[in-house]
Amino acid sequence: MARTTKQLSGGGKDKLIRALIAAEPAIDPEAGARLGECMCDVIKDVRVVRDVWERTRSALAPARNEPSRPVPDVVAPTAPPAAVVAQPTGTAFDPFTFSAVAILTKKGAAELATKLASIASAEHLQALAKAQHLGVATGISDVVALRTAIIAAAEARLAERRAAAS
Amino acid sequence: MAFFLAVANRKGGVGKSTVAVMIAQAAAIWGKKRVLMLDLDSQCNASLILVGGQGWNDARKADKTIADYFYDLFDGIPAKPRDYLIANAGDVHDGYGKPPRLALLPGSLLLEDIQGELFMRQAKESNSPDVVASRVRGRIENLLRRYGASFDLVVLDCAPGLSLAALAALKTADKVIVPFKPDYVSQLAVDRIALLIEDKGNLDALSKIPDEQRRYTCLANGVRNSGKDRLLIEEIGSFHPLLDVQLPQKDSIANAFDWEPGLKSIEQKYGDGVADLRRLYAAIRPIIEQPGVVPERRASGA
Repeated sequence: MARTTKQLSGGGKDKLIRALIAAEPAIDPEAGARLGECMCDVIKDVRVVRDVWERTRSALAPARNEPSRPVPDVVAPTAPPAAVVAQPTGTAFDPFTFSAVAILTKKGAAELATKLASIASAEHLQALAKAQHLGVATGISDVVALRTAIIAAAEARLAERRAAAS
Repeated sequence: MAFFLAVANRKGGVGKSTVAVMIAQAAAIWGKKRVLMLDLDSQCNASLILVGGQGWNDARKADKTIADYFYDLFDGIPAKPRDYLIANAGDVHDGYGKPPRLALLPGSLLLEDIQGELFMRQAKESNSPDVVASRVRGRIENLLRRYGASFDLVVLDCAPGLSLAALAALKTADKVIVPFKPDYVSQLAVDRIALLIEDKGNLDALSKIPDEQRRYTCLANGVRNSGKDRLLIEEIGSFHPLLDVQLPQKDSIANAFDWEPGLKSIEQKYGDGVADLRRLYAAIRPIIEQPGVVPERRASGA
């Protein structure tokens, strides 16, 4: 008989905790991030309902840390946490999902900031920066700082291009 | 009067000659147009693709290349421009077994040397290098335009460098197709040739010209099915108009440029790349048949 629960520890456990917190719109993102860190540190392992885990493990990677922005990939704002993580995200993160430089060129830094805000995970932001040759320090883990660094790097790239074409 | 379509990019290896040949063959066969290919690149790739090594060599021996044409007619020697052309160029038929109406003015390894000679000839009449260069370029422009009356479409396959002939071709062209490979170096090359075509000093000034009024449009060539290529194309498109078609990296297209004796159908020639060629021609056709703002720009001296 199949086991109905699954024990998680380490990275899997941390992702689950962060996803559950991020899926709750009433929690301030920064407070949520701190709460998540705290819970990840003090909780050694968790046992989750296997069905939920199976259906949502692809949804566990992205976590919402963005102020006032919904996380459509993860959850409907009013859904309870269990239902939240049950929403599949569909596909893995594509670091070429949009061109930071093209968005900056055509629509400006504010629009780029908005686009970047839709990416909640620091890992994904790092991946985007790396794939798009945007020089961002690898040590930055704060998503807000990462987004700022990406915008600055995109501006630098654009300035390089303008200089070369003048 | 023919529509003059230049294919140009200062960067080499982006597929200028192959794109030029593709457009020329598609327009001649599917568009039933009278097409002339002017090979302005001393690498002579378009010539080799269209008439093969022997055909090109015969033209050289007969002094019937673009360098000979410029040299002979520069000072008004009463030769006929048509005498320098190879008719029925290419190894594809028109769908009915006959060669399409595609002519070639063959390229020459000596094109750069000839331009130097023309410069020196003209230098006897002025001490200013800029004036001399401008006059030589103007006369080359006139020589290029002389073919306009006999064809529907003149395709100018430009060299990567900025020779006087290449500058004259850019000036003559009603529209310039700028092929590029999706990479970072190509991005800069596209920026540069765009500034040259529109005679602007920087990208901000260029951006003020609406896309539909630009005299050039860009074509992504050798595109792989990857996010990186998609991203680079998007970045190039953030400053430049893009054709609504991309040419994929495909063996069948690459192999189509190996000249073979005898005529074959365009479908046989391009294999499964013929669908890409059809899409390319569908994007080019409105440009060469409806020049849009170009005549107004020309009339206004822009």
